[in-house]
Amino acid sequence: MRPDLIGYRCWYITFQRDKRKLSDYGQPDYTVIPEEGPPKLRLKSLSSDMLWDGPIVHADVKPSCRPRNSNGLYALKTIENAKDYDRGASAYGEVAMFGHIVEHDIGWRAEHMLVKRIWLRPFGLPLSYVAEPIGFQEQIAVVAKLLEARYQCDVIIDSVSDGRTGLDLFLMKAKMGQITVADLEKLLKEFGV
Amino acid sequence: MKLGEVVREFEQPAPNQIEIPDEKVVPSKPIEEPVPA
Repeated sequence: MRPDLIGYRCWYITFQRDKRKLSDYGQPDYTVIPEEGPPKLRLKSLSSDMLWDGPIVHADVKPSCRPRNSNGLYALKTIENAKDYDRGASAYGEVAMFGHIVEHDIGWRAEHMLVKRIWLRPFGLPLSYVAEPIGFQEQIAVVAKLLEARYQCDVIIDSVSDGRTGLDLFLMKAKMGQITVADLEKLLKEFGV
Repeated sequence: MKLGEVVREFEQPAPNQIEIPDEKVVPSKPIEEPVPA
């Protein structure tokens, strides 16, 4: 039996509604619009709008990955490279790749991926930084449980990455467009304003 | 994401835990239990 092909990558974690594509990714008129319905907590690719709905995902651009194109789902060969690729990414993890594969020096492009394990970086999560009614640690635990249910895999809290200051957290949320009044108030308190 | 130079391309089978049920052994509707007289 052939062993699984394992790679590593990172994601943002978003809490948003489904989106519907009005045209294909890569086309000049590529457009997505939000769908009706409740927002969902999901992994999101760093370099595209692609949302990871479940444990198995498929490259959304045809033709599939080939040596002469740049299509496919990307993964790196080492977890260290995945962690370092974007230190601001809210999650990194292990994936198994299958289907058509293009191997590169430091990674792969794949037609399909299975999410096998996720590490969360608490500082990048879409959380409220207000202590009440639900504390920060409890929110992280809820996010981990929701992701475990969606991706049917282990979700591990990477507490080593959580050595950031309040300003770091604020800047991270600003980058993701998730600043709230509570965040501003908390930051002002830290600076004694 | 920059992955470096292309090394090779190949087909990789699905991971072991992904198994499509064999339709021949999975009934399409529940098997009705005989009702005791």
